[in-house]
Amino acid sequence: MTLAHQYSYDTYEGAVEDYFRQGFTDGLPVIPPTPERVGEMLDYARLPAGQVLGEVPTRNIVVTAEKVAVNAVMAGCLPEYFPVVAAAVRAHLHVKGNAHSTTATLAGAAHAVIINGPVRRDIGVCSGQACFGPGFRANATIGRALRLVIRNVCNSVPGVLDRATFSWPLRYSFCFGEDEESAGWVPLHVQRGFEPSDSVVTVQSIFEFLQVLDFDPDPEAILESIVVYARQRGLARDEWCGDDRGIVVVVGLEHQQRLAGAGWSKQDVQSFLWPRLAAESTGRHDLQVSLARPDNVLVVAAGGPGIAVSWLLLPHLSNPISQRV
Amino acid sequence: MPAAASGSVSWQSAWPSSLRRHSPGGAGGSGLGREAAAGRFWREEHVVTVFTLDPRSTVAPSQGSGKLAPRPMSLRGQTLGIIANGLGDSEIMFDRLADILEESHGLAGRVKVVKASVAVPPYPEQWLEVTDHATVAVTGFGGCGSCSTRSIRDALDLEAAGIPAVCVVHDALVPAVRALAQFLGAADYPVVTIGYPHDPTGHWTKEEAIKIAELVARGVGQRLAQ
Repeated sequence: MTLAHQYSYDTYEGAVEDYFRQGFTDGLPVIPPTPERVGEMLDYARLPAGQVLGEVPTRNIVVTAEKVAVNAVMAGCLPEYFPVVAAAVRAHLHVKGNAHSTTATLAGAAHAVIINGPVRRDIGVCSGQACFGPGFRANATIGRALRLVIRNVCNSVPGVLDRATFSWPLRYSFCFGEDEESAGWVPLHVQRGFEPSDSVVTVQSIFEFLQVLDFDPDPEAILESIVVYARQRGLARDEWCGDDRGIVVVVGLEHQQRLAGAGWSKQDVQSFLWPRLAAESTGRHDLQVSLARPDNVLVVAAGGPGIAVSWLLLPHLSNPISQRV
Repeated sequence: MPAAASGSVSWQSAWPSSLRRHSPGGAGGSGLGREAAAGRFWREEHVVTVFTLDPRSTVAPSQGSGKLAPRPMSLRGQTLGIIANGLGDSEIMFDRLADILEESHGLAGRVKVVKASVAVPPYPEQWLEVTDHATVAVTGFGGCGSCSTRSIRDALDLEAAGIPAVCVVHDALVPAVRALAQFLGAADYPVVTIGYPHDPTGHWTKEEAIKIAELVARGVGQRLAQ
C-alpha cells in the first residue's frame, strides 16, 4: 500500500512533462514512478514502504523507503539496483554524512557513491575505463537516484534550500565501482572492516575534484604529486567531523601498475601520503590536509588504461560513510 | 510500456505524439494495406490512465514553530545567549554586538557558544549552557546556505524553549532562511539582515566586523524586546 500522494495522467508523456513542470526533475526527463514500478523496487529490496532509511533533522525530514524507491524509478534504476540505492541513501543520511550541510551549502558539494563487492558484477557497475562518465546504466542511475532523493525528499532545490553558487555536473550523478581485481590491492570495503564477500557502498561528499597527472615511473614521484595537488587546496580541521574525516584518492590504472608493480600496497601508499599531507602549512599555497591517521586516506583503484592519472576527492563537511548493501 | 490503471495500451501510445499518425481505413482494400503503402499507420487508440507517485517528503512542523517566546519589556538586566556558528570572522561581530547591547541597552551579561561546525546543531552541553543561563539570544551568522538555515533553526528552537531569539542573516541568504522557516511552519519569523558590500560568508576585516555589529545592534535590540 502506498503512503505517497498519487497523480493521474491521460498519457505517459503527460506524466513526464508534468514532472518537469512540478520541479521534480534534475532538468532531464524522468521515468514516471507508477505504483507498480515503485512496488517492484521495494519488493526486490524487501523493504516496507514506511521503513525509515534516515532523517535530515534540521529540516524535520524523514526519508522512507517508498520515497527513495519513487526517486529511484524516476532516475531509471532497475529493481536490482535498489538495494544499492537504499544503502547509498542510508550512508548519506548518517549523522556524520552531514546531509543538511553538504546539500544546502554555497559550495555546492557533490557526493561520490563508491561501490565494492560482488554487487558490482551482479548489476554491471563500471569500475574501469570511463567509469566516471556517462554510458553505464547502473553508475548513472544509482548516482542520479541519490541526487533526486536529495532534491525531492530532502528539499534541496536550487534557489530554495540548495544555495550552490555554481553547482556542477557531478551533482547529476557520480557513482562508480572500485576495480578490486586490477592491482591486487585490498579493496576499500575490506580496509574499512567489511568482509570481502560483502557488497558495500561508501558515500563521500566532494568539495574539490582534482586530476593529478604524472607520467613519472617512480612511485614516490607520483605520490609526491598527489601531495602537492592536495596541499595546494588544503583541508582545515572540522571539530564536528573529528578524526574520521577522510579524503579519497582514486588511483588510475597506469598509476596502479607503477605502484603495485614496485610492490606498493594500499597501506604503503597511505603511510607515505599521510604524514606529508598532514604536515603543518608553510604558506598560502602549501596548506595542511588535516587527517588524523593514514587510513583516513581512502585509496580506491579505478579507471582504464592510457593516461597516467589519479583523482583527488576532497570532502565538504562530512565523513566518508560505508554501508553494507 | 507504462502501467495503466485501466484500458489496454497501444504500443504506439508510448511514442511522443509527434510520431503518431491517425488514419482512417477506407474502401478499396484493407485500410492497413493502403495506409501502410502510403507510409502511414493505422491503429486503435484506447483510453489510458497513468498513475504516479509524488517524489517529495512531507515536512513535519517543529513543535511550537511559528510561536514567538514572550519578549521582555527591555533588555535591561537580561543575559544574551549567543549561538555562533563560527563562520568567517562573525565571532568578532557577535562579541562587539554583545558589548554594544550591554553599553546601550543595559544587558547584564552574555553566554556564548561556538558550534563545532558551521551547519550543525549546538552540542547538547552547549545547548544547555545557553538555555540554562540566557534570557534572550542571537544566532548566526547566516552567511552560507547551510550555515544560515541551521542558524534559523537554532533560533526557532530557542523560541520553542521559551527564549526570545533573533538570527543575523546576510541578504543573499534570506530566501534560503525564509524557505526553511516556512517548511518548519514559521514563515513570517523575522530576521535581522546585513547586505553588500559585506561578504556573505563572513570574511571581514576586524574593523568591518565591528562596523557590522553596530549596523545590526538596533535591529537585534528591537527583535529581542517589546
